[in-house]
Amino acid sequence: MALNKLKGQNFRVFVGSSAVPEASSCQVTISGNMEDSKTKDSEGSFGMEQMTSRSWSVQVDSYEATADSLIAVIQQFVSDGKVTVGWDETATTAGTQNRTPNNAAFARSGQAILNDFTISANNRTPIQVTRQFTGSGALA
Amino acid sequence: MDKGQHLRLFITENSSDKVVAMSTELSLHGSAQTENSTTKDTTDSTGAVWDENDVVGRTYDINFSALIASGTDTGGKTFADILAKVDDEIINWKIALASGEQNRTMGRIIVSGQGKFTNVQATGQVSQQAAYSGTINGYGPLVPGPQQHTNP
Repeated sequence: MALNKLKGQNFRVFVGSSAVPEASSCQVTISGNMEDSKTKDSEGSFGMEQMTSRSWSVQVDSYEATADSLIAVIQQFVSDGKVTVGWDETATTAGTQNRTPNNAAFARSGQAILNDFTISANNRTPIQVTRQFTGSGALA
Repeated sequence: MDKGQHLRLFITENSSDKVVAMSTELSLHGSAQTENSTTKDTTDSTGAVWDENDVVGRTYDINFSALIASGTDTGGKTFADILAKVDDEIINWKIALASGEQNRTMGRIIVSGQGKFTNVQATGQVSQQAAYSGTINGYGPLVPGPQQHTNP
């Protein structure tokens, strides 16, 4: 069965239940921390690595530069709460701005902290927001 | 979609907000220090638990660039004004939408706070505009929105 290739604009990050508007790029990273559990009992020269913990993070760049959206970014940063962050495929349907989630098999979400942001406002270029979320707890 | 010139840095002095004149670039960067709070109480069916994190500290800084000009500018902060602030203990600043003549009329305030100039650098190269850049290291909380910053 043939698979449909997904274009970049249809792989989107969601904060809360909404796709990050005016997003231009995103990156999702899942990492496993491996530790060698080799002991003197182990025979041979190969390591015996075990996964001891997992972590995830999401970065998203956007041009969402209304006053409300900029203030929301800073409110999120200063808040002690965590926010639901995830990713999904979005439908390319006219009039939806590619924001409708498709509940793809690879869609995941979890609780995360906005641990880094940059608002860039340079002359003659659109205001850009870069956000990095660090996951806290499991992806579901 | 607003362009960069519509978001500007204002320095507050004697209850008066003055825009950084002839600025070309502005960025606000915030960073939260997180600490892994996973404990032996944390369970996971696979044995490799997901990291749980909590924020234990926050920092932020503002970077901007502007052109250097001679003369005075009563409506904005010039390189001379910024140099005069370098020795100040703490300055008050706001980042706000700007419009009107020379894009200097303060509109909606996005964020405000306090800070100190930690770096000011000027360059004067032949065949180029003389320019300077500054870094304000945040002091105390970032205050989102139109609430006015009050001294901690």
